[in-house]
Amino acid sequence: MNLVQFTKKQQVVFFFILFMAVLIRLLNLGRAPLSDAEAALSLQVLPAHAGSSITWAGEPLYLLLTGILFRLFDQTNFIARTIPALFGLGLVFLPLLFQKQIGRLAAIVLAGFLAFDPAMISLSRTAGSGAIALFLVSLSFWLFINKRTIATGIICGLFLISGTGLWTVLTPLLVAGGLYWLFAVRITKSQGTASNLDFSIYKQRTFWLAVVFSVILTGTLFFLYPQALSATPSSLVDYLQVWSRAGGLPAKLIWLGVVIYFPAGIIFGIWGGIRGVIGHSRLAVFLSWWVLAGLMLILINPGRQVLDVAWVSIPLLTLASIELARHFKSPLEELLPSAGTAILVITMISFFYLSVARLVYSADQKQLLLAVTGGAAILIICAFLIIMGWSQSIAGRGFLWGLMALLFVYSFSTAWRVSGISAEGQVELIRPQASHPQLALINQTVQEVSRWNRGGSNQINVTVAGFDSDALEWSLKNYNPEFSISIDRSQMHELVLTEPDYPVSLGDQFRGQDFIFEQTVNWQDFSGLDWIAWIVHRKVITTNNSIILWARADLFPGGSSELPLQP
Amino acid sequence: MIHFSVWYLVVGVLGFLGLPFIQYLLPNLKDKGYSFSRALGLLLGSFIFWLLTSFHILQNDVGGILAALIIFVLAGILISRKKPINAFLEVWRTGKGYILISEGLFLFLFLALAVLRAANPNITGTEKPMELAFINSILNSPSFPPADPWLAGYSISYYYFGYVISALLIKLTYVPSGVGFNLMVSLVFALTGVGMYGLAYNIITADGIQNWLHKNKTTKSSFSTLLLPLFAPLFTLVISNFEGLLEFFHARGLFWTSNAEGLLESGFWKWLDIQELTQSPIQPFSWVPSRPAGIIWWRASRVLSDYNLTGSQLEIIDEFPFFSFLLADLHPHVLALPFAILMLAISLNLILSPKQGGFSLLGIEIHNTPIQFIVNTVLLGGMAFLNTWDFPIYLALFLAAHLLTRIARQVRFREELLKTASLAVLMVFGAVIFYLPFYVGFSSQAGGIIPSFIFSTRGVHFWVMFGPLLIPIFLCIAYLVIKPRQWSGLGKATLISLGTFFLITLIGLGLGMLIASAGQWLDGIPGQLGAKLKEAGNVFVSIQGASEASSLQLFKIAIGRRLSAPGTWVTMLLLGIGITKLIITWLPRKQDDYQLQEQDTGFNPAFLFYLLIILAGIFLTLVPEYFYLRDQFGWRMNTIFKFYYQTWIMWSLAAGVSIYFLWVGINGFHGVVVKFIIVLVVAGGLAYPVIGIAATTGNVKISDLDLDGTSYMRRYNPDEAEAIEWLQQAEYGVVLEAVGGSYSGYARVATLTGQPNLLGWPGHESQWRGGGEEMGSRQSDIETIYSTPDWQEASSLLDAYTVNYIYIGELERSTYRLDDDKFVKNLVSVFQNNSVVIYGYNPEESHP
Repeated sequence: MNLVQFTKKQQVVFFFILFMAVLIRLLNLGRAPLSDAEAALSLQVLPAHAGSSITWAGEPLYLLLTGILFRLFDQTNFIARTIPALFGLGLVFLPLLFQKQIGRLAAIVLAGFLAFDPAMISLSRTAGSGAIALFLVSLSFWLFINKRTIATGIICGLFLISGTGLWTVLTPLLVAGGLYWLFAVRITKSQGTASNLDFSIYKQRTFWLAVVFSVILTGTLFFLYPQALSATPSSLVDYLQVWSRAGGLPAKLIWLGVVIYFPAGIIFGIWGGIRGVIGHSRLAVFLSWWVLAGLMLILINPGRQVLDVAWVSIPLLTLASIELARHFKSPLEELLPSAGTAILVITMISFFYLSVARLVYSADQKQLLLAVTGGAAILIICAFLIIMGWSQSIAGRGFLWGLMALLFVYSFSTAWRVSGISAEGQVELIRPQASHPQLALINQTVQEVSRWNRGGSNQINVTVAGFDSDALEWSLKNYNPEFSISIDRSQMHELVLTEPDYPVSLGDQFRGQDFIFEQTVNWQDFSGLDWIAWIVHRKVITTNNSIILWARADLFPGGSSELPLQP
Repeated sequence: MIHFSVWYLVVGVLGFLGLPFIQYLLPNLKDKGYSFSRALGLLLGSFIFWLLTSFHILQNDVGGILAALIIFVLAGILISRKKPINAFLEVWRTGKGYILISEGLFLFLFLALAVLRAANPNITGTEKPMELAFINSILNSPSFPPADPWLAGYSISYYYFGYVISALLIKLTYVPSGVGFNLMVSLVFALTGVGMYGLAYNIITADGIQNWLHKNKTTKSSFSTLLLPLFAPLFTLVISNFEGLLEFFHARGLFWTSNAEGLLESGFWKWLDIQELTQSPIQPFSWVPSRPAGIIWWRASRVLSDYNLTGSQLEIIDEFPFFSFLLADLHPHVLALPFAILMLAISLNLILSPKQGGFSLLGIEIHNTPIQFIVNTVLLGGMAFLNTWDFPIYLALFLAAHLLTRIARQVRFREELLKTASLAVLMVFGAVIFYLPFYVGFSSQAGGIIPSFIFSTRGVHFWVMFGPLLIPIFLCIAYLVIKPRQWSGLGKATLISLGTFFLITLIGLGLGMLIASAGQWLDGIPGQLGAKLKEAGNVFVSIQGASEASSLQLFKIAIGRRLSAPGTWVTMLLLGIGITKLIITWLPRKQDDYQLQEQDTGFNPAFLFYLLIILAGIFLTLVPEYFYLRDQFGWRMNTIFKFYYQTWIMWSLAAGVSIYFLWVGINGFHGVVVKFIIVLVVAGGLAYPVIGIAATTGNVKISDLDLDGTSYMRRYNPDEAEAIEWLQQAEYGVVLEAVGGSYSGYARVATLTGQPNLLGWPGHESQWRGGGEEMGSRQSDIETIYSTPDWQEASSLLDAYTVNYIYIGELERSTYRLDDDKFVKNLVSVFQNNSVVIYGYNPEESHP
């Protein structure tokens, strides 16, 4: 690898990409409350900080590294998401290692794709995600093809303890490998990898020793947490359980999500794949099989989610990058007309988009239809005119550049929305699980009551009765909330959180305030207009579940503290 | 069907992946241990899981189980340097027919018993609730040692390894525990059968035996080599004692005559003295046995009877495997069966080890590699953890095999005997170390070994019990002794056998006399020692049923009983003479003779093993005639139970091998007669299974088949089933429920949910812990909590015992004078339906 071989312009572009990647991954990382799944993981390592034993879930590497960070720093949402963010950031670097295989320009394009890919960003900003596994498998592959035996072993060992991501990455890879081996294409020219991969590394004892030591030493954090060894096989169980659980999105929503979130990757990836297969490129053939295998597994998985497309992002975006890199160059004489065409395309489609955005809530569907068809017709006519006036190649290049620019803007905008940096609680199809939009408000309210009555935060008793939630427990962790199935009404509870239908009346001694606890969207009931409204404006009807925060009356000025309570 | 298939697949995969390990462990067997790979995988995999979880290195979850199994598989690959597929192909190339029959047998047995269980799946009655409680507790315990489900706050004080193995499979396959229980019974049945087949096959296909048969021009074929060993699992698992046959005769009215009053009487049945068969049969007579006022299939496990001096009958348990599987209690003696067979295989492998090889440990030559020896120690130690009674038996067998192996190479008996004793100490030490976490928390009810003075087994009962096994064995031994027509050594054998027998009798009866006379002789000894010994003497005399009797009187009675019913000891003596004669004839005297004799006389270590297991059975049946382990029961019931059970294992294998020798060795008219006798024996032994299956499955239709042993709850008490389902999903905590006697419906909540209760069956807890100290006042405190109107009193007890759930169902309402007002006023119900309410309680809250 030699970064110095980049031209100055390329270096600038790369560092810009890196800067944006850092920004989009780390900015306001801790702003959104942890989801139940994230909180469940983070809570696992909280006791480790306090020195007591913990039950290890199936994400050992994440838990171990985050546990270290919790010891060194505070236990905040930001720290809980730092490890996936860092590994996600590392993914942006990795294309540079494969310059030799995919080309310098394609490496930079791929870095850009990975930097702004919504799936990659979502993974990077989610605690316990598969960003770790993706990074490690890519790095281990580079080490493997560069014959670094011990390093490959170490990284493979880390990959083995990377959690559920190990299996979600490995399964399509193995299926693709099997399909490639079965239907191998005899090629006469190679584009990308070395002519034959050397698998003899797996016969070397040093490799396996490195794997074993890596798993045992890192997996137990140098024997500090030997029970974490259980977490590695547990990740297989968790992965298989996803397959046994229904509750995933319907396949059509997956396709829709792919189009909405990954248009650039899909368009150029498919294009690049077809071109590569026709051109007998081994790399393209393998990457295409990988994409197909991954998509097939997503579609047959009953627990499928849009974010699962992240597991085929790498091969898809690689194909897309290789394809796009071919189209950046232009003969000098065609540069201006091509640029002009591109600007025309950008302008036309922008207006077209704004028209659709304006009309989406209009009662006049005919106008909307006219806007859509009219815009498309104008574009076709323009293309025809440019072909007539200049050449087909100029028209094609111009349209392509325009499309690339628009898709870049669109992707960036989608990525920004997915990141949640600007707006809290924004609903995204890529994260269809329930969100907790008012957790921070609940926390703030509890904090205020504590300050009023105790003079400081984290000094009031909080009881959660009749339900539990990892996200809530994480949010209120500083108060050591007591989760109980029932409450003894004769006791002096100060703050109590219940669901609205909790069978116990706390009586006049308490004052309550409801908060939106859980927000879900019924994606399956969306109509076409609903989809457009969401794509354009991110406006959507949500279903809210609330909880009630009860505060004992004497915690407020003038309140009474008489006990016992009347049943 | 799905659950069955998943279990079949998982156990099959485990067996396949364990092939490298078993081949390393048992390289001297013809099948390289193929039949035992599933058992080894389960035992070693569970051991690794249990040990690492006990040390908090792994967690008690699927991840921990998978990690342990991965360690087991990798260890096997590493030490054997073979991959599972290569290990399989190695056996496949030379034994396709064997593998096909073995796999077919396993599937057939697994399926057959699963269907039988599905026809009668309920986990109720006898010890089943206890076993399910252990399994559910192990499933729910966050770590090991697992919590005692019937005594919250304590860990299990019992040999629970078999339940760990069961729980491991249940957890790995995600089947409900009620289904897993019945699948485990079926799996143990299948593993036992396939192991027995493998053992018999490996004995008869050992090189020396095949050479000897060929040299003697006996008829043999691959057909007989592959199919005849099936008699071994048949005799182990299906053939039963002759009590079933007697039931048919009894129902038919055979040997009953009418007296002058028209009443039926029979000298024969009175002389036979088997309970219930002494009463006249129902008329009109028929060939269909029935027991309107009892359980027809129960008596076969209670053939023997002891009578004390007052004439009171003391129940003796003489179970055999088919009864155990019909009853389907997952008790330790059942769970240990496949692993006991694995121990037999290890001993056989040791005996078959080549002349050279092995290693030296502290001057003791051991014909294993160091790793084999360590693993064998682990496996032997596992027997103590599975069923403590089995440990000394299989340790002794292993040591006997070791001693014979040494003697066959260097005939210095006394030196080898001493070294073998040292080896025993080493292995016991190793076995305890490997299972230390178990021993740390374990307390035993055993109270020492005492002489069985006046109690002995009548010959007729002995033959009813072991007849189906003894007949083929006797025929074969007689054939092997008589056929060569070489009588030298017979005199010596008779002397040795008689001498051994009289020595044991002398020691046993002499010790009995000594203890019985302690009361007389120690009168003058001052101090506590004298008083304790005198008390022991008096207790011993009272056990015999005598309030006052001199030791001499008791001695006369002891001798008199044995002489008046000599069948048992005469049988053992005759068998002992035959075995000893064969051993003397075939055991080489010098090292050079080893190879010579192998060619000439057909001596082969496999033959020695065959003789050894018959000899082991003789000792196992002889010992309880003179000694037994004192426990809470006070008489030799348990000792006979455990020792006779292992005798059945040994002798059923010997019977299977004997049939092979008789079938292929004797031709012509004699061959026909022998085969006819075998057919009669088999038919007689199959009488009981017919009765048992008919009685327990009745008119079950295929549509009624259901493996879930807890589904009865949903049918007969849906409210309670709903409450239990709720508790199964609830957070782990201590349950308060009503307390009652053993073998009842009490403790059902803890049993079915795995959530520990305050107190389950007090009688069992007392047995397990050797007393009631740990139980304390729980029984009365539980009653107080339910019945007191004072909330403070109740809540302080609830806090003291950290109760989380207060369960009130019909049983609680009928057991106590329930005052639930206090619960209603102060607690919130977390579950309620028509007849059950569960209150949640948080014992951590401080009270003003």
